[in-house]
Parts: sequence; C-alpha cells; structure tokens
Amino acid sequence: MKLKGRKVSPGKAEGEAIVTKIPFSFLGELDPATGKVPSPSHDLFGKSLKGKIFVCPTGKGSSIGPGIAYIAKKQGNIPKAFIVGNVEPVLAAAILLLGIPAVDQLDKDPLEVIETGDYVKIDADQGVVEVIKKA
Amino acid sequence: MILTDDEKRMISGEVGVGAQKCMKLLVQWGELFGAEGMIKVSNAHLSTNFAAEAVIEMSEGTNKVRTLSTTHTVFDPKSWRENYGVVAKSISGGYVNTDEEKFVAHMDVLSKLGVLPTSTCSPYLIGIIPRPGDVFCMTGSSGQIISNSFFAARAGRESVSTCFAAAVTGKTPLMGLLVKENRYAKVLIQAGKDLDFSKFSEADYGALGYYIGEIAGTRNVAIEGIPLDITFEHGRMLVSPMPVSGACVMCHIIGLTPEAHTLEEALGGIKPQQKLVAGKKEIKQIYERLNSAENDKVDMVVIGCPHLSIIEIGQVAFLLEGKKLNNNVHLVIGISNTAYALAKECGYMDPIERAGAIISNTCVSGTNPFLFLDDPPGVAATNSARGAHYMQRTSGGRTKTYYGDMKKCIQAAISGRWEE
Repeated sequence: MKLKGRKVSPGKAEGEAIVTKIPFSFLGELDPATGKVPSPSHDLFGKSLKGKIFVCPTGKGSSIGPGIAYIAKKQGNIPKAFIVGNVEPVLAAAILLLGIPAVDQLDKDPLEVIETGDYVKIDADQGVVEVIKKA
Repeated sequence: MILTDDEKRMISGEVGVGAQKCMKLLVQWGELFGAEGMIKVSNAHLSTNFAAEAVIEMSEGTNKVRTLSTTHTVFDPKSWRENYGVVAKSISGGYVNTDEEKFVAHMDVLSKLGVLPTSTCSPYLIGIIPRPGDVFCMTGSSGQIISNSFFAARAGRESVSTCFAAAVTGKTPLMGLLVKENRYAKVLIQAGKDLDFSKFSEADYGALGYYIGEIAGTRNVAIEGIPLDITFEHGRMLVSPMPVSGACVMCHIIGLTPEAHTLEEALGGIKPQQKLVAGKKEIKQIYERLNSAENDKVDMVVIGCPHLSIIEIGQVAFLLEGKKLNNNVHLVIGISNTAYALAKECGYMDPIERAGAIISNTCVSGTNPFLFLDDPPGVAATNSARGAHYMQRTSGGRTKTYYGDMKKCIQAAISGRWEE
C-alpha cells in the first residue's frame, strides 16, 4: 500500500513501524539513555523507539523536547524516521534538529493503516510512504 | 518563503556554519506552518538545558548573538551544593545537567556569545519588558503567556532549539501567535457571579487559571469578569498555570489585555467555539486536586514559581519578620539575582535569610533538586498552581502537595504543619 503526504524533514528510510495513538512529547516519553518509552501510562510503555519508523498522531508538551531529542541522538537512541498525522511546532522542531526523514498529512490516516510490526519505506522528499503489512 | 538578502547570506553559509544551520532550521520549520517570511526577534530567552554541544554546533562561526538574549536556568548544580549542600545525582530522568564542570563550561559558552546570565523565568521583572508587537522567542511557558496576555508582545509555541536559532540569527518565521489572525480567543470563560474577587488570594486566581487552562487546551482563551484593578502579581498567577494544565499561551483578560479592550476585540468578531462559566465549584475542584497531601506535616514550602516580584518578596519578608523556620522544613524561594539585589537594598532579604530560607535563581518547582533526592520531601506546600502541578508530576508522585496562599505557606514553613 502506498500513501502520499507532505515532507516534514528530508531523506529516505525503511524499517519496522511502531505506532502510538497518543500525541508525542520527547519529555517523559523517550528515555534518552535507552530509547525506550519510560512512562507507565503510555500505550508503548517499555517499548523501544530506537531504529524504528515511529508513527504518532501529533506532538505535545514541553519546549525542552528538541533538547532531549538531541541528547538521545548523541547516544544513538532515536527512531529512524517519523510518520506523523499532523505535526505541531515543538515536535517539528525536534525532528528537524534530528535531521531524520519525516512526513505528515498523508492521504490516509497512518494510525489506521499502519500497525506496529509492519515494514515501512519512507521517501520524505517525494512525500511517499510504502507500507508492507506484517505476515 | 521569501527571504531578505541578509537571511539569504546566512543560508549560503557566508556568515558561518552555525548561522547557516540555524537559518536552515528556521526556514524548514516556518515552511511547515505557512510562514511567508522571517521577522526580527526582540529577545530570545534561552534554556540552559539545551546541550552545550548543540549550542556549540549551532553557533560555529558566530561571535555574538544577533538579538538581546537572556537565560532561563533550569538547575545550577554548583550553587545548590555550595550554598545549601544539596547534591542531586539525576533530575527528571537525567535530561537536566547535574555535572558542575559541564554546567560552568556551558554558561561560559553562552556568556562568550553575549547571552546575558539573567537566570530567571521572569525577565519582564528585571527590566526586559517587551513592547506591544515585539517578538519574544521564549523558553518557558509562563513567560510566553505573560508576554502575550499583559504586554501584547508576540510569543509563539517555541522550543529550546528554535529559541537558540533565533538568538544566533536574530530572526524567526512569521507564524502561529506572531500573526494577528491567530491571536483571537476561541474559548470564552465568564467569571461566576458567586466569586468575590475582593477576597481572592493569588492561590484562588491560580486555581481559576488552572481550571481555564484545562478547558482551553491548545486554544486561545478570553476571560470576562476579572476586576480591572487586579494586581500584576495576581494577574500572572491567574494566567501562568494555563500552559501546564493545558497548552494555552494566549489569554485575553477583557479590559486588561492590550489586545482586548472589549470582548469583540478579543474574539476578532468571531463567535467563540465554546463558552462557559467558572465559579466556586470549579475552583474548589482544582483545590482538591492540587491538595494531594494527606497528613498535615509539611517538609518543604515552595514560593516563587514564577520567580517573585519585589512586591512579593516584601510580603514574604513581612511574614517572616522575627520568625524562624521549623527545623524539619525547607523553605525554597525562587528569586532572580536582580530582584535579590534590590530586595537586599530594601532590607527585605534580612528577615528572609535570618529565618533560614533557601534562595535560588533556578527553577524551584519542576526541577527543584529536593524532589530528586533518595529521600525526597513527602509533602511540599506552595502558593503556585503551576508549581504544585509540576512537583506532583516530576517527583513521580513521591512528593504530595498542599496548595494555598502565601500566608498559609509561610505559616506552614514556621510551624511545620498545614492548617486548613
């Protein structure tokens, strides 16, 4: 399945998808030392975002977000790419600082059509996402 | 996006690799949110929590920042240890720097770039006051909502990296709350007829603001019915919880906010999406949530979230005159160095310091180091709704809170007990 959207940050990446339904904040939802989600109330609690294609609806919360993203990147504990429903300024600033590929505003809701474990190819420059459903 | 010649020179790398990185970041960012161009920044207020390595990368080839730049110190490991013997190994899951040498080196990098070591969340209290329309790129949501709501300055949804890029380039994309059409209120709150504002404390205003923030979420809000003679101190306690209980950074107080002489002006002539009344019942419900403590023994009292004005310092001094703190209580007060110097001249600091209070120019609520010790305070009392919210959360629930006005809080610091 192919989805078409908008480039948030340039580049190409492919890998395994991990999906949250909760608007994402780097503060409290990504432990820079491990790449895991440390918040017990989160739907991805204990799961690692490291090296994954991370799918989330939008961003939220603290202006410190990009600062934490930067520390996580230095330790190699960040996703490979982002697929966002509709990005907001703080999450966008973090993604741009990381310099990893990202798209948003796809023609189908990524939270509906992508599931954790699917294989995803993203070409942010063209705004294209290819989803290969897990077997 | 249409760029000026100056901005193009930055993009091309002519004025340094750092400025190029920053301008590229701001252009990419602005394009995502429909910015047609850049605008001059009057002040960039920077978190000391944006890693020194990132600061160095983004300022390579830049000798001096290109706008008035000030700091917001989240934590200062050196002063907490030297002055009060408090050493926190890790704060907020390790994202706050607790290494003294690194902290000093970081401040040095910022200072060499010409960033003023203001070390306060409230630069408007120390003479850095925006004029209407000025663009303020601020780390710290209390400063954002106060700049928008009381000074009609323009402060958007910023982050540590975009604020730093604004400092290096002197520019930010014209988007979000920097654009007039995005500043109108979408939610209208009417103060309940059952509220007697003549008896309102700062904590009552804070509880009202906390409730309003939850309703507003990310939307701009207008409040009708706030007395026009409200003090600036009470006014900022009203608006400062809104970005933490919600994500609202623009509050029109009808008759007071420079952009809200009338309700029509605040709404921009558009019907609000939501309209409701906030009265005694709503305020009581917030008091119940911010009072999470169960036994009346108090271990810590926190005043100064946001940092105190000279008037508030005078009030604390009056309450502490000739008194001693309870041996089991830490009274932690957030005051900028500048306000401290004035308060010292006024004779306000003597009774406060004699009583045994801890004075800090860093954050006294969310990243208060006591919260992160192996044996944290079980109960903290505060007159700040914003502070109570942060302390409940960043302590991971280990510290419970009492919430009430300054008089009650100071009494608790003296007696060691919270009295209803």
